[in-house]
Amino acid sequence: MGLSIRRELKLREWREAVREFERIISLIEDILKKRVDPFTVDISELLEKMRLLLEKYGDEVLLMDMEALSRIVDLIKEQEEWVQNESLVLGMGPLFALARLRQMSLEEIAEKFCEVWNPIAYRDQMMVSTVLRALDYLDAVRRLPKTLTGVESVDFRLSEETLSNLGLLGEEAFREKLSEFSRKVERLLGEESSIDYWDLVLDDTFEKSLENMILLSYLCSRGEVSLKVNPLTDEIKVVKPGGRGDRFSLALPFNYDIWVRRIAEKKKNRREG
Amino acid sequence: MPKRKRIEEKVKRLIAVLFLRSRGRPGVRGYELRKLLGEEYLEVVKAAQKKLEALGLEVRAVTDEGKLLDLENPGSEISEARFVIVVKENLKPEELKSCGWRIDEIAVLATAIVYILSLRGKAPRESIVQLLRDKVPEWRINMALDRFIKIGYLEEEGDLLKLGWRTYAEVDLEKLMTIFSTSTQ
Repeated sequence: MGLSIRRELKLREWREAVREFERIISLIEDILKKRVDPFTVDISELLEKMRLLLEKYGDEVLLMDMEALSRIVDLIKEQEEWVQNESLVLGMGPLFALARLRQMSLEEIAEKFCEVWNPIAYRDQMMVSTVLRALDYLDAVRRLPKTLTGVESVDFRLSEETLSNLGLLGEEAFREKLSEFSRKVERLLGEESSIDYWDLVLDDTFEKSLENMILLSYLCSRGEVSLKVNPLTDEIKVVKPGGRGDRFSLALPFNYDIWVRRIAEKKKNRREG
Repeated sequence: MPKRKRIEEKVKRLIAVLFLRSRGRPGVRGYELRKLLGEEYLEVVKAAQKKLEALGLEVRAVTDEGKLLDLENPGSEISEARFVIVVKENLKPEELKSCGWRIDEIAVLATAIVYILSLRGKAPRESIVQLLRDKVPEWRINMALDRFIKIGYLEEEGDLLKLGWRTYAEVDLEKLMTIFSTSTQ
């Protein structure tokens, strides 16, 4: 009975020691992850604590001790980096940096950065291996037969009705949709100088909204309309086309979730005003 | 061949190899230059420096850890250091576009550098994105950060971002922090 109690007590003590090691490890991990001042921890105190635990429990806590020691090495490395950067930072804390960066516009930040930036000058060049690969490709293309032999080619056209049944849009039908959409945009731009992008493309169904986005992208590519993006508000406006110098690419993520969110926003805006 | 002429020939070779990027990263390592130009390669670099100065360019040697080396007193690290040519004159914001950069991309880089330094060397990527979210669409911030990681301006360490070798080679960090800690609206 007495032996069992002693064993139980020893086990409890050992668990407490392991917990102590775990506390040391998680403390250091927290400091490294949250970018807190690494000098807030007294390393000599931690080492002393670990030494006492190791002396008391020996091999039983050796692995934990090694792990904690490895974290302490990381912490010392972190302290070294911290000191190295301290001279550059001029006492500027993250809060001050945040406030300063929030105050400034993108143009101001870029302008200040240009004053201290000396970009590397170099020319991209094609490697000999790339040229050889390109030659291999051209050679392979040259060897391909111009027409496939042994395959009977049958010339046939699918009717608009068949395409529609398959859920596909024929060239004619697409052209019709495009001109119809173009007329709609033209009419709206005649009434107002700009239209909100999402107001224009969002429709009752996700499929129809996606179709409108594709049609609008065609109109943009053909130069019939242009988009104006406000980087501060993320607002996109459809406007009459500008000069050639204004051309740019714009990628807009769109999926069912975005459609649901945008529709909800649209309805809310309508209700409010 | 007299020494002066020999050095001049090597200067031409050096400038060509420094300008023409091979593989992913620009620049050539010290030991590669020694192999190409011989033991006197530092002398060639200094001679090239004089020629390039007139064109507003400068040769810099930077280690992978981001330490800029003094070409006059190079030390043992010079062999592993990467030699690059930088534009000595500062660019004007309106010239960024012709160099293939957008103003908002450069602002993302500047913000990331200042914020990383203010946190003494590493900053969570998420915090940088949050800091810029009001000014630049999130997808563009992430795209710019990925691009800067790929070309060596920033480095990823788990969820944290730190400065890459190219930032140390190209940016006067001390001056940058002075500007950002003293500039007023």
